[in-house]
Amino acid sequence: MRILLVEDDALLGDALQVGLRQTDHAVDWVRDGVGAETALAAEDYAAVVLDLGLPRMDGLDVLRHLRAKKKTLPVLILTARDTVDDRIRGLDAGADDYLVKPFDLGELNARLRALLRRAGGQPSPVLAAGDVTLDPATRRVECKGREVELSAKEYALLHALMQQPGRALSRAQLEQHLYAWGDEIGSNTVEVYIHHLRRKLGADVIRTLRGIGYVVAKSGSPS
Amino acid sequence: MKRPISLRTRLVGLTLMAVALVWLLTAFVTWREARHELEELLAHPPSTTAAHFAKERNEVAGEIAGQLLKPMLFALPALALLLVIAIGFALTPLHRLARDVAARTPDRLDPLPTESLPTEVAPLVIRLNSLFADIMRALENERRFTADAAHELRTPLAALKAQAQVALASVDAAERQHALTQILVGCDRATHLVAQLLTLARLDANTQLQMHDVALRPIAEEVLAMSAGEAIEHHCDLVLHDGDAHVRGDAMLLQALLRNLVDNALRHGGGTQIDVSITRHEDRAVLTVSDNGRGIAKDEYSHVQQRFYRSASADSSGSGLGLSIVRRITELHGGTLKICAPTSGEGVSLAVALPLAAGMRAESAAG
Repeated sequence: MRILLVEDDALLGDALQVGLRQTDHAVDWVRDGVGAETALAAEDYAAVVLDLGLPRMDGLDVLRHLRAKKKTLPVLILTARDTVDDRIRGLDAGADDYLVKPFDLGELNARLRALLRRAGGQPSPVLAAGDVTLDPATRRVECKGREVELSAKEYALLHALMQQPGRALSRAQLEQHLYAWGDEIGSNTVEVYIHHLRRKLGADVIRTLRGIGYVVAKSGSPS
Repeated sequence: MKRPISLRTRLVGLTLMAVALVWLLTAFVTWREARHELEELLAHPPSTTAAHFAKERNEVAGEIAGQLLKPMLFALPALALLLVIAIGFALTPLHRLARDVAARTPDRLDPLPTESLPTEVAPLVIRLNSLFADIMRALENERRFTADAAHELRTPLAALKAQAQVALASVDAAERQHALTQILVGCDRATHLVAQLLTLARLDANTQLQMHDVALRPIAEEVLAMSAGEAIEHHCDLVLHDGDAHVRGDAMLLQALLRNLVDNALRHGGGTQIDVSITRHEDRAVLTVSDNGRGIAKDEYSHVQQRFYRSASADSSGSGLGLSIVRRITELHGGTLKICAPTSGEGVSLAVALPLAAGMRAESAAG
């Protein structure tokens, strides 16, 4: 999943970027409110991790502007202020969840997974489509009850497709999920990863819709 | 609104009223007794013999005098009682005030009511109210400072924790190395922040300075010598211009002041040269630290002096407390801090004006 990280503290931002990447998210990191607005306008993110005390534009303002534009993507706020008032203001401004600093990286990841799951309309923590199941918490992928080893990018691609089975994603959309700014994108990498996934999971798990993109069927293969 | 009455007026007025009341009572009783005696005298007219008349007259006069003493017997205690009540009544505003003051605690310092107070105590209450306001402001500052400090400490702690978890979870040696290095950087930063917080807390608590005649130049030389290493790391030249001035101040604090100014210029200035100069302007010594870096936007001038404020363009390695410390030390010395753009138009210039030492002031007045 592609995540926008908005954090002005260099050390914390660096840790979060690497930490989120360790769980196979593509992370773009901006350090102020104006940068966050620009990034949100330009790119399609699965979720935002937003620090509230930001230079140039307050985190709460970024959040309000985002919600005013009717964007529904999940936002998790990070705050160093732990009074109830601060939390209420954050949630009322449109945040979906919050964490008070200092927090646990594992908890941040778990909360993000929960937010992404809910945003995708998936009540169950384990994503399933046909014979394939994917557990975002353990990043374990099984096909017909047998564990399948996937590379980080293969996993991210499958995760994006299984987030909403039955909905096709274009190559450009998949690239958005896979790559953060500054990542090298090969011309046919999505095709390469799809090819690998088909080899590992079976040819009919991911279908190609000519001119539209790729889709994972809800109930697996009709065969 | 009721006009304020002085305690003296109240006391005099009420005492006069009590005396007048007792006086009237006495007059009334006397009048009744006299009438009674006269009636008796008229009912039994005395015999006309001179000797008998004289005896009768003396008897009546004696009776009148005796009757006159009787009302006074009651009037004096009555007067005493009335006076006690009157004085008590006159002093009620003082009792009420004492009760109000007793009800004030450090948590509840709202101003005392000043209307309808005796004129003698009104100035006292007004002074108390302004004192309360000062204390409340100080307490509020302290509360805000504690909250801000907690806030500022949480972010470096969050960074340390997250970096440590990244290092633990990392399977890549280079990534782990990077995270561990970052933890050390974070520890240094947190140490710096704590040191700055303690400096500021001590400055806030301590208003009794060790004031002596202090020469600024040796202080500047020492501070610049200490900062030389860091200046080399930042590829920055430190220049101390000619000039000196003596001020009345606390040498340790003045050193901390200059160190913070130079540190600030090094960390956040981003220039290639830092100029320090000591000049005299009228009865003030002016300590100026200028850099030729990226400067500060005009609208940020007032913000940079606020506690924990960090400029948007600055990296976040600072505590955001440097200029607060500078400002506080300047205030304690009765000086002023000014931020301006240097004449060259590049970078930023911070000027601290401090009162000259007494000897120098005379000298500059003569010169």
